[in-house]
Amino acid sequence: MSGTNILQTESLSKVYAKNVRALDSLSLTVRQGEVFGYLGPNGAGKTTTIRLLLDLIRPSSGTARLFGLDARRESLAIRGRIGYLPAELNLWERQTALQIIRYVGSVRGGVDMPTVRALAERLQFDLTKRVKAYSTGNKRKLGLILAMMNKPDLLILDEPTSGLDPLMQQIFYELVREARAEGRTVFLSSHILSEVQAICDRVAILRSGVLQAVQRVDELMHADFRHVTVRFAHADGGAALSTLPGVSSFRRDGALTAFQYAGAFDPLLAVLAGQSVVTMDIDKPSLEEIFLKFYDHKEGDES
Amino acid sequence: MNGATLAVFAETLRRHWRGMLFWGIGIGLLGATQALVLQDVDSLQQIADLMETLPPFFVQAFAGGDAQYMATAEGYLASQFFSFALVVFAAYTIGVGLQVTANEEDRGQMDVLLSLPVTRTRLILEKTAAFALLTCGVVVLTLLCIAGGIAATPALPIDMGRIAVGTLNILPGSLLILTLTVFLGGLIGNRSRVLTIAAVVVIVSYVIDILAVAAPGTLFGTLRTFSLFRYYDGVFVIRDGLNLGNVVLLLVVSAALLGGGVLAFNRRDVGV
Repeated sequence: MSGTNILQTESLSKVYAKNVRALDSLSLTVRQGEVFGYLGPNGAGKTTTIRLLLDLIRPSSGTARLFGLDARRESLAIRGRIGYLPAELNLWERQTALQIIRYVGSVRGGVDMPTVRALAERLQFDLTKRVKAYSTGNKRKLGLILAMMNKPDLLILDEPTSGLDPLMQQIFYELVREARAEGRTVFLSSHILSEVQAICDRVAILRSGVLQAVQRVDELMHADFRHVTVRFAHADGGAALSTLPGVSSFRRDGALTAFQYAGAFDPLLAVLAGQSVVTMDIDKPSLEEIFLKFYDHKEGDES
Repeated sequence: MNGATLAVFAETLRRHWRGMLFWGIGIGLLGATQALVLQDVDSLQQIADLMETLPPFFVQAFAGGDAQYMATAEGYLASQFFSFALVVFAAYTIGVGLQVTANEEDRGQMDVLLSLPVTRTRLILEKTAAFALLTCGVVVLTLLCIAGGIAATPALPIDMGRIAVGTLNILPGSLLILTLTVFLGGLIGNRSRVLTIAAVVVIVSYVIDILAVAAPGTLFGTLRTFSLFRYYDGVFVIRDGLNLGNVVLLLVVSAALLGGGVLAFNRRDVGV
């Protein structure tokens, strides 16, 4: 990463009609060559932020700068360097993928057909069909090709893997890693933890229009844990788990024991090996839970 | 304009030239049919005789008070086709006017377009220019079809030059309806509202014009000043020739509406 700020917002806010505050004083920086995850539940303000960056909507207050240029006054120059995939991609149903690619490419000043064909091949996408004939996943692939075909300096991807099958998700991750390796920047919104873990360098979490935190993913993953629920054959089973390092939020209800567990699973399995276990469920936490855990630890360390 | 700028113009033409053929031939056949049903001069005389028997109100309403003009082939075509041709063209121009911004904004396609390096101003201007050109194409096709209908009825004495003027006279009014729709799309964005308002403006304008011609001394006579059909004057432009004042006025208002649409679209949030 070169450290140059590609995207910077300062106190960026958006209030819609009827005083609906969609985004509240967002201050954020994304650096060149970074894959930046922008996370939050539905209605958190992710898409509003992206639409502000693209000048599709105008801020109620605050500023946004991309490549050092003002997102309002210099939007045209900015958009020449951006590839964008909206969360809800609506294309012209009666046009073929190739016709749309040529149109978008010509507005950009030219189409790099070898790149288009290479992307289509990797995503196993047929360019010749009309949009209305494509499945949701295939429409998403077309959206990715449209966003990536000109090798933009900044990719803004809103829920990029929504509708893609797991194999295609892996190929998408590869494409993002390649973009990063070429020094390009990726700003993507997501609510999928595994996706964020796989490709993002840093993540920001947004809730109700307010930025909750920005953190490096590798640091965040130290706070990773699993929800473990074990049903023992006997009511007194699992008592030894409460003192096991890595166990927290320990609860027992008869033969049922539930707790959070962080760390390698070998010690846990060693304890369970001596017990009579009927069932065991291991669930991943939500990203928000990991954030909360991370900040709990941090605050605990500081105090 | 550079190549990237003209891309929107070219794409608009590519996607909509078939629609131009459909509308041009369709409207043209409507006009040609009116020529074809007139078999000879005798049938025109029968129409003139019928006119003489009508109450003055109807003669005023359908023939502008000039029953003799209606007994000519040009007058007959004027009353049976050119009097309402602009309403038929309005169906086309409102439809394509919606294509400039309202349809794509309503369907969420505008987000894709405006994420590209094209300004909102250029988007509207290039699309409107393309649709204006296609509207010219519809007018030319209409004229060719009517000419074909006239050629198929050699027994009738029709001044083709006057018919050509009458057909070309449809263009300024059509451009005004196109730019009115563009203006509303730029201002409002909601497709249904734009369609409703544009259609109501055209229909009310047409009805006011008909009533004002039939009863010029009434309130409708006063309101006619605000009706675009007063400046279109599809019936008598064939008898009297093109009114350049009206043409200029329609084009100036069209330009103002287009400018207003561009300004409004530039000032507001898109797709909310």
